[in-house]
Amino acid sequence: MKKYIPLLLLVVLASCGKDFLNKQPAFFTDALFWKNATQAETALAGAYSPLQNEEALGGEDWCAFECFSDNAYLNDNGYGDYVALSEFRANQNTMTGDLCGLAYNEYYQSIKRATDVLTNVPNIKMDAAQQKRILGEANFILSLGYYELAIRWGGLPIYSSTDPSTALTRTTEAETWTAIENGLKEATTQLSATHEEGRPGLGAAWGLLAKAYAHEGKWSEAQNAATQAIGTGASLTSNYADLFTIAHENDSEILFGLGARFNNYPITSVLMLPNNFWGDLQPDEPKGEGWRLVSATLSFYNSYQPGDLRKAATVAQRGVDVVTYNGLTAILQAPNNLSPVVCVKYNAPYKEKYTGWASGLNVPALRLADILLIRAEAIMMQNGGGPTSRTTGVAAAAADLNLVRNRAGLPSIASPTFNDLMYERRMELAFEGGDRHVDLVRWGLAEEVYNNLPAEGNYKPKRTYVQAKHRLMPYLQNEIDNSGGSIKQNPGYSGGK
Amino acid sequence: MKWKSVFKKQAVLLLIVGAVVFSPGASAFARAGQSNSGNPVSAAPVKITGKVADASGNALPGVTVVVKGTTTGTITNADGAFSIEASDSKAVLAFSFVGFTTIEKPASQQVINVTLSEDVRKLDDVVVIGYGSIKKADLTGAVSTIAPEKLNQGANQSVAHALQGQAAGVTVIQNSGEPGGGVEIRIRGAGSINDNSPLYVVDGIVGGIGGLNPADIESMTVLKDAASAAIYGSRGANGVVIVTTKKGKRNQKTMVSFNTTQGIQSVWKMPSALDAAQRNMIHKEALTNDGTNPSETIWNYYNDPQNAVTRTDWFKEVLKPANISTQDFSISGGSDKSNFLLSLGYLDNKGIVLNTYYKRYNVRFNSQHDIAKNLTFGENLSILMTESRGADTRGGYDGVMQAAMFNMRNTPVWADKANNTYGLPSGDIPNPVASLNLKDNRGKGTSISGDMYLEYKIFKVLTLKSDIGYSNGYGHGKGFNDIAPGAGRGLMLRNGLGESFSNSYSYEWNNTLSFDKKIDKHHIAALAGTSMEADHYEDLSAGGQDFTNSSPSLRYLNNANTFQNHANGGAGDNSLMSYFGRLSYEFSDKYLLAANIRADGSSKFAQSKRWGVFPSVSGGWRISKEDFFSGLTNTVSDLKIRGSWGQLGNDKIPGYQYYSTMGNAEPPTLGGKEYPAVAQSNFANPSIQWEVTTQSDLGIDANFLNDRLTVTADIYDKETTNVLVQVPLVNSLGVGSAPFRNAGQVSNKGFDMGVTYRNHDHELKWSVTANVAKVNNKFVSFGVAGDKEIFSGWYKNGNVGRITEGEPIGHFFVLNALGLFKSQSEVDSYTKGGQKIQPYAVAGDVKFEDRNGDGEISGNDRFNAGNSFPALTGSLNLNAEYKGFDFSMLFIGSQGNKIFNGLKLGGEFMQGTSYNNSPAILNRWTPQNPNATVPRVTVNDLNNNKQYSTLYIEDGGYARLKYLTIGYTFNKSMIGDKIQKLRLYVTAQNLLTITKYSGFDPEIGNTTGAFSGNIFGIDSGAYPQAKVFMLGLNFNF
Repeated sequence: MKKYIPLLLLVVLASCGKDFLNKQPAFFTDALFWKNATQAETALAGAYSPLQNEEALGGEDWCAFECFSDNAYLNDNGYGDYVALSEFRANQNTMTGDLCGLAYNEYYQSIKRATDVLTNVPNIKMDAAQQKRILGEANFILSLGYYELAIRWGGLPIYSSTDPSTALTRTTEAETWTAIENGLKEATTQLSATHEEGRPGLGAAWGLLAKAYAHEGKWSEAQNAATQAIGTGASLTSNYADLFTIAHENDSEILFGLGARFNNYPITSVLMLPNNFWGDLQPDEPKGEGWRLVSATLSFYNSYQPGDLRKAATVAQRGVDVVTYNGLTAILQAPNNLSPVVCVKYNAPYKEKYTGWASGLNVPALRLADILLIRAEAIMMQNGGGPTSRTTGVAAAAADLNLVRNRAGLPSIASPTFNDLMYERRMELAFEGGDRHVDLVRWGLAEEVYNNLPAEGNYKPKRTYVQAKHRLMPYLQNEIDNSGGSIKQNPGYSGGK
Repeated sequence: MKWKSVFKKQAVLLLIVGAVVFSPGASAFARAGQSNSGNPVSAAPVKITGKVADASGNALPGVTVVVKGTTTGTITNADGAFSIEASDSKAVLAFSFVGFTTIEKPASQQVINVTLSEDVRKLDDVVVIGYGSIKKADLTGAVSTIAPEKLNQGANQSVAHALQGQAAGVTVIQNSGEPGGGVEIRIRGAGSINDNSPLYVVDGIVGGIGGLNPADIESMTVLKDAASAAIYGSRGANGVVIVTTKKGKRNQKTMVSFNTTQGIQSVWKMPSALDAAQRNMIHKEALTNDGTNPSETIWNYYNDPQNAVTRTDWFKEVLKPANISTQDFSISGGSDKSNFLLSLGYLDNKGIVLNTYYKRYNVRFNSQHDIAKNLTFGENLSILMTESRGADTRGGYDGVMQAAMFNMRNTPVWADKANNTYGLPSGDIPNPVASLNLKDNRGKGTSISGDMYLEYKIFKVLTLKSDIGYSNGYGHGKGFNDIAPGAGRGLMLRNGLGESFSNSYSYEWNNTLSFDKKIDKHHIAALAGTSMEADHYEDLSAGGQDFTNSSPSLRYLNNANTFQNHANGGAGDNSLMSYFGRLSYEFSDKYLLAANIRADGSSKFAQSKRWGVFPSVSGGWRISKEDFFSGLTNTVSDLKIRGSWGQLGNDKIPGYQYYSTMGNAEPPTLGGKEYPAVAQSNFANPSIQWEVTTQSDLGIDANFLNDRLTVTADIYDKETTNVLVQVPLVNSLGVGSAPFRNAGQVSNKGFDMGVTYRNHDHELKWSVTANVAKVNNKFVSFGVAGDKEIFSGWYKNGNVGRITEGEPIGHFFVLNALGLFKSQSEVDSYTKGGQKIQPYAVAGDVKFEDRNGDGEISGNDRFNAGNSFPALTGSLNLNAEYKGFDFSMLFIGSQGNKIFNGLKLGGEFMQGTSYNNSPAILNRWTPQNPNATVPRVTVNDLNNNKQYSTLYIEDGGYARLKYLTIGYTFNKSMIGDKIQKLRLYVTAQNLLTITKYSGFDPEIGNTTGAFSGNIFGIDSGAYPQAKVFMLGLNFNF
């Protein structure tokens, strides 16, 4: 008998050990999640969350991407690697922890969370209309993320909630754009024209789809999608400068604006805010707070047509232009700006008083004016106009283009050319996330425009752009490394083919 | 609730264990005891009395007196007297006392007075090991012991600090000189890329040693090899540090002891930066080098004569001499049935960085009572309170050391002190004085811990001990960021308060049954035990902004006007259940064998992966006890070789890794309002387990020249498998943190050696101890296909360290700088396939090695630029005594480790015109200074001279005179009989540092960020070490 007792002991111990060693975590495990509508909404909010961070939409990378064009350059901020990228000098992308590297992470976090919503929310028993809206928003957020990444890097890994291995291989560019199309097409069946501030509606889904089609050169589809977007009831805000004020940040022209609240990210305003407006400090001027991450080139400043109201709303020249900041109206000094021209597009919240990093100004991520110009472009492309015939007038494109021109205080053009369209897109969308560069690249004109531009100061040196290589940025080295090499470099770069 | 039932179950169990499992053995031994007590038939018993004294005639209380071969024994009383009954006059009495040579006397007289002489050999010293103790001579594992006097050589903030240089193979690296700052302890290298810190056991209970008062320590034992540490199973892989606190002694008159020190400390080396005129010269040269147009407004700044005036030495404003003092008081004593000790300690360390301090209050009480025959009760109680105010000395933008370096010296500290307006810094850095004044970050901690135990001698040979420990700790952190005009980035616009509370508690219940028996030449000892441990942690934090009045009395969240950050709160639980045992056997004092085993079940792992078994075996041979050796004992007085093998675990990973979790995400703004958000925060790994370290050790203990020279040396081979690797995922998976996987393999091979020579034969007594340890660390394999590298050691714009196969874990990974281009033709001829490798370089720029030969310089050209962990660490301790004077000094040092001097970025390589530079930049390359090692100055830096390369890597080896103490003990004739001891001493700490390192301090611990524990020596301007001068007094009566 006695010899069984130790055995009995072990059994007793093992059974009490089982309870003793089971510890429930004090947080949600995925087994407890995806059960009700509130969880679905918070998970969807989780997909919006990364977009407002320091780099992505309206963040540092969104602002800095403008420097790839001829509009802007990066002020001295210790981002030498990014300057090398934007000057087409880099052979590799090691921006792991800043700008495009972090933006990449933020967009992918957003994509992953939106994908998880699309995977799990259909299984939740909830109000059908609410469920549909949630899925529509998730489809839009997902596609916006892929769009922003695809214009930078081309073909992308497409995330799957059920198969993590898809994250380790880049799809082809065509496959990526198809994924963007598909997400947006689905969103157009799920979203409605009315939408809450900070969320996309039908206009945003059709609008981004129009831009995606334009990128792919699918002109009739682009025209149709743009028409759908325009037809959702949006209209242009009458005064261009108002678009970048808190009072008008939710106007119908803003098809999708990233929501901001005071004292919280996004911090677009302070990123773009010039530093030391008045040279010698004025009382109470908080020097050192404006990051002046990106400033304008003098050549951009000088490119405005006379009477273009967008100029004063976008840029100001040192010693020339009068600006209002922190309660004072005076001639701009900004002595530590490398160029004489600063960007003032997002300064409106600080006119009366500097209120800190996070002014609460929404980010105008997608506007009706952009889509009007996409439709004008699509019409031109289908009617003998285009990058290779830039002086051919296409009267059919006049209506859309002139809506945008007239608002800027410029006279109508009866039969606008592609050159006219290029001007409108450049001036209308400057400093709103890098459209100028993306446009020049997709038009095949970047080589001509950039390489013919003389150096301006030592902040915008003469650059050598090669379309086959520089139309995409070098892929992030840490992604290549961490994938074990299954993620491949873009052509022309170190390690790429 | 659960605890109650579990306790109950274990209590029942324990009784069953005691009663059943060991009862047959116990009765057998009882019978053996009877037969051993001799034949009582013939002679009559004799009563013997006497006194025991030491060589100088002082009575020795507490000496054990036994009748040899029997279980009859007693101990001497306070006067050294004893009385014992022996079976007959042929019996032999043995007198033994720790630290003295055991003496045997025949019981042939009725009064026997004995003089015990101090045992210099110390071989009978008892060494505390896991769940017990052992005679040093019987050790078969690799164990280092540290005597209390070694731990009290300077003004040490903690026991961990004091461990530095005291044990071979134990590397202690101070993270910084910050008051209350931590240390990193590595025993025999790093076996993991995760937590490599050892397990700490204080008076038998697992815990931390951070708040222990060094004055309370009786002894410290470091278990280094697997044989010694295997009794701690899944937590022993990084080694175990066992601390025993001081106790009162039996039969000792009540003794009061008071120690006090007063010291002054200052930075051991004052750093420096360019003055305003030098800065103008360098910056103008850089602008000229960059071809800046003379019409640009930036020149105006440098041409303004006001800006050439030096107004401030920021380092002198930030680093100030400060006081440090300690007060320790204790009272202890004991009767023949009880003993007690109460100690109080206070440390007040005002740091050398403005406004920083650390205060520690310790209370410790313990007592032990024989409450019945063979039944002893005892307890330990410890109360610890700490208070500190810290400073961020490491931050890339707001670290005060960086701010002191990079602030312009024409900027005044105060622009207008009357109006509380600081001198406004340029760029992103704050005014460091403003930063130290306005950022008020305080921490408070209170913990109460203790244990109580019952020890029952069931039969003479069996001891049952049950020990219950509990500890409860509260932490309170409060950081207020005030604002003032001119203070610089982050200090001008909004004030705010962040406050956090945390509470943690833990229980531990250990039950052991130990057996010890000598039968003729056989000595058998055995131990069986169970242990249950659980800990729980909770915290709560919240923040508020925009206080309309920032007086310290109003710094509570009630008075905030904005609540931007959410309140946070969480909790965590761990539990561990264990069974362990030890069996040791010794034959004839010559042959030693021991085996340990422990089975651990841990809540950190999924049910099917929860339990692990950790065995070890060891053996020793005391060659000097062999007959053939007898001719040699004059030279080699003692010689033992020993060997061990065992397996240990490391479970130091966060809990719940086998769950996939959803966590709060930053709330976005939807509908114009904050909207709560949730997202998946990590992927699960259900198969996660502990890491396994298999270690073999071969050691030798040898004493020469009548034990004057003692040598202990070990070589070891430590292979860690199942290393938890958290290889970074691709970011396209959209989750920040990767799950742990048991896949990697790490190897540590090395030796450690301690040599002591002592000469106590003359009035001048002296000894010298040298410790030296060498370790070769290698990350053998990730064990996972595809993953080749983990980047670690984040500094500003990038990682400077890497973990990869075949290289040491903590190596630096940067470009190789081949020097500077001396001419344009050198640039032009540095080509690959006809193309210039560095097309943007000009003379004076850095030439980087194109290691992969692809014709361009990129991250692919980085290489192993040296290990941050020292190859060799050593220490040298000298002690001498002469006529009341005592002298001691400790040198510590390391060799073969590299430091990444982060302050060169900005210091020697310009980071824009907004920042000052270090004096080293004065020796920059110019056409007139073509042999310079610092490149030409440039802001645009088209060649990217400032990217991380070997130009940042420096030799981190150093030798430091850690302590130097001279004391004088007054003799009895001067102080009378009432006072037992009066000693006055002076100590200097960090008096001398020899190093080639050009930065602030060569002792740099870990950094922050992912995998930061794997790489040391990233100098981001850490809080520098202080040079301390102290005056101290020991007073016992």
